[in-house]
Amino acid sequence: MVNLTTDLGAGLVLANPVLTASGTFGYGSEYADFVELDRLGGIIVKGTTLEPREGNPGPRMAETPGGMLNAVGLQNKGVDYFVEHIYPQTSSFGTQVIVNVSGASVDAYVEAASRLVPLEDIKAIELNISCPNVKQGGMAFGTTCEGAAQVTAAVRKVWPRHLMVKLSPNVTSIADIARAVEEQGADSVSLINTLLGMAVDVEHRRAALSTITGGLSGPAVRPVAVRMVWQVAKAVGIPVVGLGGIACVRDALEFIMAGASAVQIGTANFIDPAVSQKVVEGLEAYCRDHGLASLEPIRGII
Amino acid sequence: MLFGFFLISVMPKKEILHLQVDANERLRADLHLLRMRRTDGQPMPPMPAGNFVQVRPPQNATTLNRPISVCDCYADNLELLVRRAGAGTDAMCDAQSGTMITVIGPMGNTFSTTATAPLLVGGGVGIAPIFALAKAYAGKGICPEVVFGERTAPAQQIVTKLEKVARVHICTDDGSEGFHGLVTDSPAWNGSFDMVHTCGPLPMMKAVAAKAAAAGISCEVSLENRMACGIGACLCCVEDTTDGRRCVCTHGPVFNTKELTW
Ligand SMILES: Cc1cc2nc3c(=O)[nH]c(=O)nc-3n(C[C@H](O)[C@H](O)[C@H](O)COP(=O)(O)OP(=O)(O)OC[C@H]3O[C@@H](n4cnc5c(N)ncnc54)[C@H](O)[C@@H]3O)c2cc1C
Ligand SMILES: Cc1cc2nc3c(=O)[nH]c(=O)nc-3n(C[C@H](O)[C@H](O)[C@H](O)COP(=O)(O)O)c2cc1C
Ligand code: FES
Repeated sequence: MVNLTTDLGAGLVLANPVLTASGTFGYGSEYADFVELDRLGGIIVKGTTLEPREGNPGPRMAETPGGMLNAVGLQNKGVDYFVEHIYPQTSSFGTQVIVNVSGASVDAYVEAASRLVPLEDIKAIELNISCPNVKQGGMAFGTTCEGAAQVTAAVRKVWPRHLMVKLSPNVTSIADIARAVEEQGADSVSLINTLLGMAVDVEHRRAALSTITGGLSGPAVRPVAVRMVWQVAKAVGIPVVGLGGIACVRDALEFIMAGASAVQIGTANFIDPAVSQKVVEGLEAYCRDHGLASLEPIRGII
Repeated sequence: MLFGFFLISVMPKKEILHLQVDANERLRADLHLLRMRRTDGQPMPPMPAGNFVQVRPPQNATTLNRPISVCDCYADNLELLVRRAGAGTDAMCDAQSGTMITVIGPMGNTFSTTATAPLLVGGGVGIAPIFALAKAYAGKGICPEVVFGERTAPAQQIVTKLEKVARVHICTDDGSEGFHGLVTDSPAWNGSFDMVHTCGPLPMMKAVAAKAAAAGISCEVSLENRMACGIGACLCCVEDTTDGRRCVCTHGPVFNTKELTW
């Protein structure tokens, strides 16, 4: 018997290590025609902010070789909408639902997280620290150790359950940032968020995205992500959740062997909306075929 | 179903379909009509006019899937009209008979079919959903007027298909066939209509919408914003509406122009 149960600590136990990445899986129901949601380790819902946000104007998306750039800009209806309208429906999913929390100031993160505390089925939040800090001239919290530590420490004071901090890859040393959030009480780190990128529509002589720059995701970023997961797994004691370009079970195994305790599937959901469940089944098959009772023997073997 | 109370589930179930190309007709240098068929003996799910599918281009020619309107759907067949625009549509147009193509759908909303005297205006490859709509009206016993605008004489196969379900008024930019001029100047507009439906290049749709508005006729347009997921999950395809930014893939692609702020 293969046991893929994954305990990420601080009360977050997943039936298997496969999560879906924030902003790529809606609120889960969008994929119910394609995936048995209760077969997933968990769903990370789209970025949620204190106030509703209408996001950036179009065009918000440009395809690039092996990937895509997005500039959605955290469009969402705000945390209160999640609490009132989405949360009541997620209990029937039969899987862990994790809320991705974003903010433009430390106070906004703290307030959004506080409003999720009464929702007992939400065992974890994922703190998206790639957001621009309005007070610091728009520089992302997650790009300095101080910024990352500050927002993690502040949310840690109000959020009693599992706190996952999602790291930005747009830094010189992601291991330093990971250590900084671990020191402030993060229970796990997830990485990577999108890489800052840009594309030009040369026919029309303008940037492909309305915001000019945007976030790169998809298979193109995978080697960068695997490298960063490997570096971070060596640097911290808390579990590492790996993502970036995973499109099949082989890709997921790459992250696990680099040290990830769990993985997230993002952009690949757009191409094959059933891919997340296929990765779960693929991990089970891999273990069976290789005589493994769990993924422990191969985790972090690199 | 577990998710019975979800808004999304009032929409028909979406399927991942593995279809075989039965015929790939080259209508013009850059335009192909693909007829594809399910091979599992099942009928196609209903795909009313306005719906689109997400096509995985053969040979994984692109990273993301490509949205293509349903042109015709019957029994176990799906017909798509594809114009070469880049790597994804090239791979579709180059697909040989027998090729398997993965298609996800049905996606999106549908045109209304409640008008009694509809005017349908299709430009270029935008004629694909307009054909589907004309067929739907014909099924209700209404023979719609269709204005079909093209740069030059349109492919005869499409015109023949259209003429079975509609009265067709061709307009060409170069005057090589039908009315020489814009779809908005077609004599077809002299009739009296209670609804205009349009799909085609954005400037054409805007002109059609303006003309309908001036005549006090309600107008539906089918938008073609760039998409990633096609199912309302990524929020990449938004359009500004009177009700805020809405996804074209789920709230559309068909919008009544009174909802749009373009
Ligand atoms: C709901 C919907 C229905 C559509 N129905 C049809 C159809 O029935 N037949 C058909 O031939 N095409 C249709 N299209 C357009 C088709 O999806 C695009 O032509 C296709 O995605 C281009 O992909 P590509 O890889 O061939 O070219 P790319 O190399 O990706 O793009 C070529 C050029 O087209 C532009 N482009 C990319 N995506 C789109 C888009 N979605 N809309 C407009 N321009 C785009 C790019 O900016 C670039 O300039 C539809 C689009 C939508 C959103
Ligand atoms: C359209 C889109 C929207 C995203 N929205 C969010 C978000 O709201 N919050 C967040 O933390 N990450 C967001 N991401 C980043 C993904 O969760 C993920 O970190 C990134 O895409 C890399 O993984 P992938 O290559 O598997 O997609 C988004 C990505 C995409 C493509
Ligand atoms: S294409 Fe993803 S939401 Fe419309």
